[in-house]
Amino acid sequence: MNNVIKAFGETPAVDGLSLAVGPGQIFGLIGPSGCGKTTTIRLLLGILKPDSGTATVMGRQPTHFGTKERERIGYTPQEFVLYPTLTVQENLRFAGSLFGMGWRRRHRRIREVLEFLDLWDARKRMTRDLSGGMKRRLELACALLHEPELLFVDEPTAGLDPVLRVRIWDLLRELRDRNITVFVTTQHIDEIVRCDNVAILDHGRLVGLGTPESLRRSAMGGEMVEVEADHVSKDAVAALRQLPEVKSVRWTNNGALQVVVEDAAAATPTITETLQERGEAVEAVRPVVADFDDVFRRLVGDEAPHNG
Amino acid sequence: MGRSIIRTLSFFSQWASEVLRQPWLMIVLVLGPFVVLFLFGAGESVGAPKPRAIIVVPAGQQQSPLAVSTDNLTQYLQVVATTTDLQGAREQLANNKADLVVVIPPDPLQAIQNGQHANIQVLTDEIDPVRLSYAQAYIRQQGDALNRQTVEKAVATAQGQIGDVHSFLAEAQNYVKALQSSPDLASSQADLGQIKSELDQVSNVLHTAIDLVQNSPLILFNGVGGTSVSQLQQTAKSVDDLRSQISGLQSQLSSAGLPSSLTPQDLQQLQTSLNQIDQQATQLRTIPPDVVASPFNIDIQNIAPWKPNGTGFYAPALLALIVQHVGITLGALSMSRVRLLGLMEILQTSPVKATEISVGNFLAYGTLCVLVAGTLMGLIMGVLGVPVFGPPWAVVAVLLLLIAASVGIGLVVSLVSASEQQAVQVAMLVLIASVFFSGFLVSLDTIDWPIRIISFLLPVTYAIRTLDDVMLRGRLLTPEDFGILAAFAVVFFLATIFLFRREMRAR
Repeated sequence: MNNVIKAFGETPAVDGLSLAVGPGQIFGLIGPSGCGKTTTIRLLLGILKPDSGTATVMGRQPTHFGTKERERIGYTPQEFVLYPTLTVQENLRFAGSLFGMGWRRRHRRIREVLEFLDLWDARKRMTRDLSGGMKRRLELACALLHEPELLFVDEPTAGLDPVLRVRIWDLLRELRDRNITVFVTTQHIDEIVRCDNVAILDHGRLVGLGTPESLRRSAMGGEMVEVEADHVSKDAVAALRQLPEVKSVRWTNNGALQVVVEDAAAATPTITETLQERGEAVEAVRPVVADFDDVFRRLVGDEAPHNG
Repeated sequence: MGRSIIRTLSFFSQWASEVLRQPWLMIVLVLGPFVVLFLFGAGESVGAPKPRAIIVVPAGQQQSPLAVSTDNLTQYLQVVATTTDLQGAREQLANNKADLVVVIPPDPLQAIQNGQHANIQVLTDEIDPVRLSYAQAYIRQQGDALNRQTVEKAVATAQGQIGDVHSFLAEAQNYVKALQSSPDLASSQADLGQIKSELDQVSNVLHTAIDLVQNSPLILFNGVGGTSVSQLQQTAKSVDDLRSQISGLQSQLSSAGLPSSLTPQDLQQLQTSLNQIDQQATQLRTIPPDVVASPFNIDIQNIAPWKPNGTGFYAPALLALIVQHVGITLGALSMSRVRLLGLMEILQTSPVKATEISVGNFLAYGTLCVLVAGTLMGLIMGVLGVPVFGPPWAVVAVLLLLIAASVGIGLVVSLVSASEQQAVQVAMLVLIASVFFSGFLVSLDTIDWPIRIISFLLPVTYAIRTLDDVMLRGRLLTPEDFGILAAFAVVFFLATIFLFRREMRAR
């Protein structure tokens, strides 16, 4: 996507979005509700047309997709959109026939995807009687039936309990391992870590793009070492700032001292030594990994660091 | 090509899976309309019921030849009461206890003799224009019947009196025979006097009958019974001429005093004249009073191959109406449901094309309509005994075209409607318009232009017309209706493809 803008009325849903997704990965589009995730997916599927900018998927503009391109793409919408009065198997047959799958291939693939998604035993159940997690998996099954190379999954874990969420991500990883490119959206920030690459959206704008680790580093300014102590004197903090490994020092909301460094493992002994030299009563000095909620807040500018 | 067929049939198999799982839904969909038709036929009577009437008779009604008998009023009216209280009758009319109040005039003969109509006043409190027109037609027919009965009564009275002429003439013949053998002048004079006396009585009867006819409301049948009046007058003139002739013979006898003055030729002529008068009088009686009153009888012969009752007549039209409604409603709900479920996104992102969706939906809902129409047709023919006199292919063709047009309209409605409710509202609106304007409820001829344009915008109008002709008349009177229905089907099919394309286009 290159500088894509899409507005509904006066409100831009996607505002100058540019990103690229390589094959064979899980690409996560992450952001709060209403940030433009679904609009982005619809732009990439050719359901929506950009007001400006260009989108290209598999070498073609989505609005010009033909039968061949569509047969290579699978899509699981955010809402459950299958026929509630059909059985699991019948919904799959319908989905397969929409993609022009012949009876033999459809029959074989229905069994394969249902077994893959642990739904084989439920194949004759009415769709309306399925649990939320089963419905999600059935939608995935419908999208996977025709063996797509690229799978768009819009908020697959929304409304699911943590166990089911993990199960869904495990399935997505398995698909990635089968060389299917998975473009997934979620509003659960903690799920960033399950993606190979992520883009973070806020109000339609891209605020972060990269691997989870690179995003964490760029959001936090580097790696972090946390100092546990009842009290750290101003002199000691000033001494830490003078160290060449240290980029910044700040106090967290819960009273801990966080030291941002280039390499946490290498800097930890130096920080410990500096504090001990000044007689500070330090309980522990250890590398910490920043929470992605914090990362997100920093990226969208909700949390300014408290420099100590 | 193969993939395209699979994609097209996906809608059919999805529909089939859903429908086959709900057999009761199918039964209701198929049998429901038949039960409606059956109950409609069982409870419907062609035309309107006889109006409930209160007859207000004058107190102390005179017994004249024109006295109106309430028995005569029951042919077209349901007489619920006979009273002399006009005010009470009006109140009952206002309270919907009766549909009409018929006020009989106190002395109709007097009015007629004064050169005026005998006015029978009829009061009604009807707000239904159809029932009012029925009531007016009934009242006019009742008036005609009363007039006719009055004429009949007068003619019968006159003919009864003419019956006496026979005996007088037979007596006169006896005296003519006696005259032939009269021994002397005195006997001849006496016989001639007797003959003249009998003829005087005949003359009196005839003139009384003429007076009765001329001074009675038989004036009403000037053009109807005029022949009888002139015949009466002619016969009376013949009698009077014979009387003059006899007076002449009497004078001859008196002056000549010779019995031989009455020649056998005179006697023969006298007998011939009497026979002629008798024949004329007989002829006057041979015409029955009802023929005199109603010389022209209207003999209505219906050459239609089948005379259906209400159910039979309405069956083809109701079949067409139900098939159109089912087609439009199913079509109208189809895409609304797809939108409601969010399936449109799935269709947009799948390789399925607008034409394939369109054909698939036509096949799916068209098949359901064919099942409904076929079952209804079977029940109409098998249970209600409605025949198909015309070629069966015409019935099949018109139903298939109607189904295609109706499903097309329904799909267009669903694609332009913003919600399921809106689609259902439009389907109901089309149904209501079809009931009023298609010729189902009232004949197309009774709908004025330009409102009749609405009739010809409804496919069911052509289907009803063709089904009526083919099934009930056995003839295909408007073959162009096939073309018009086919045009409807094609136009709406193309419109459906266009709208599906628009719906699936990126926004």
